Amino acid sequence: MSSSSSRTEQTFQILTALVDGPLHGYGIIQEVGRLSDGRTRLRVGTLYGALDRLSGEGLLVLDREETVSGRLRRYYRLTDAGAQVLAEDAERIARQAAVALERLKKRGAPRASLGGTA
Amino acid sequence: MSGEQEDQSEHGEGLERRYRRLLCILPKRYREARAEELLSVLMETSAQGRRWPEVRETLSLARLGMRVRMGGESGGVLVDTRAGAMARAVGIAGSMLLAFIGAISLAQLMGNLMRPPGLVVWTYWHPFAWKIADGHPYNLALERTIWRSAVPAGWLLVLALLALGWWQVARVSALALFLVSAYLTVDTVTILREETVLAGVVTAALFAVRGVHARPARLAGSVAFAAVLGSAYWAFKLHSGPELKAVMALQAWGATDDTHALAMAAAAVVAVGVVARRSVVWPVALAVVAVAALGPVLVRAAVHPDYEGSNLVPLSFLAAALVLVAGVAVVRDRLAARRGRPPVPIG
Repeated sequence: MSSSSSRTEQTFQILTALVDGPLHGYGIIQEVGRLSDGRTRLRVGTLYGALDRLSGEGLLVLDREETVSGRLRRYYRLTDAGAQVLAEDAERIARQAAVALERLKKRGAPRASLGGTA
Repeated sequence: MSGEQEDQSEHGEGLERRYRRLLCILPKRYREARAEELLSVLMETSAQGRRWPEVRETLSLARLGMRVRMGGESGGVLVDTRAGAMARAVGIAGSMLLAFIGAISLAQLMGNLMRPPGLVVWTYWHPFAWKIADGHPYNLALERTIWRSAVPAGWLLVLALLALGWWQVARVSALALFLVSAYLTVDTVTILREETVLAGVVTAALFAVRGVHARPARLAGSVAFAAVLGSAYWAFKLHSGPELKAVMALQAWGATDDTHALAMAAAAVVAVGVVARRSVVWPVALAVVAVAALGPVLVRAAVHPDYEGSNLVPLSFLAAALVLVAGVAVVRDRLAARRGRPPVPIG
């Protein structure tokens, strides 16, 4: 099994959250929540487990540290390798979604449920 | 500051204190590097006025702690951890013992089947004692006996997979063997007598091993594999040969002459004690395996003293002494760490 196909949705969302620029832990949790329309709420343990794993794979790196109101914030940045892996994953998911939508259209599913406008 | 603000600040301090305590779930090295950052995120994600950590947050931190302790990536680096090394040692040592028990049991059964009459029964709480029953063993209960004896021999496959470093396949095989063994056991008494508890502990240990620890156990695995196969062949051939007399001489183990068995147990404990001077990993792992293997037997003997029909003093001594040796090694290691001495090697 390739590493990209085994990557979880949460990991995909974390990488997506970092596309626009470096974020700290709380920023990533907020951004992932926004990207998923509030469906995904990352837990801190889950987030740091994923950050450790993604750092190990070289997909993101520590960008900088700062202290805000006495609290330490570490910002993480997507690497070029991370961006490439995310692009591959996004294309794969888009292809799968396109196939699913095409088949649903043939089946005659309602347009609104396919994400189209009436 | 208004009364409400003071109240909230008090709640915040209490929550921070509790989160700080909760972070002790993480290994010290990880905590030193990340605790302040984690605490900052935990406090920022907490709802206003919250006094206690969220259950889901606690579980996610527990999972992170387990992962890091078992050798998962820590800050992007795979770490050799003591807990991970211990889980690996439990997995390997337990698989060896289970493979030995299963293969010997199957070899004896096959010997009986191919050379009737005569039924030889081997059990691990009488490791060197063979009981020879009168009469022919072929009856309706035999089929179940074959399965019970054949399934544990599958641990030989797990051992081979560990030697090759195919941990994922080894984990799945171990889980399958454990589930089938548990299914084949008839009642709680049988679970205590058979190696079901040990199989469960070993399976859990194999699943816990991660990162650098999931590497091939080439030397230990191949030596144990060869030794188990050799012992099984010996047990298979034994039924018709004069070697049976030699085995009968070892019957003292846990059956008649405690002195002989106690001397063997003491020798084993001394050997583990020597290893414990170098590292706590194997002594702790052997103590865990001993307790998982012998604990149920001792419990069963306590509940049904008439059932066992033998003296379990040597086995009780072995289990207790291994636990003691492991405990002393851990305390010694902790004291050395507090005094700032260099850490004892992990492996």
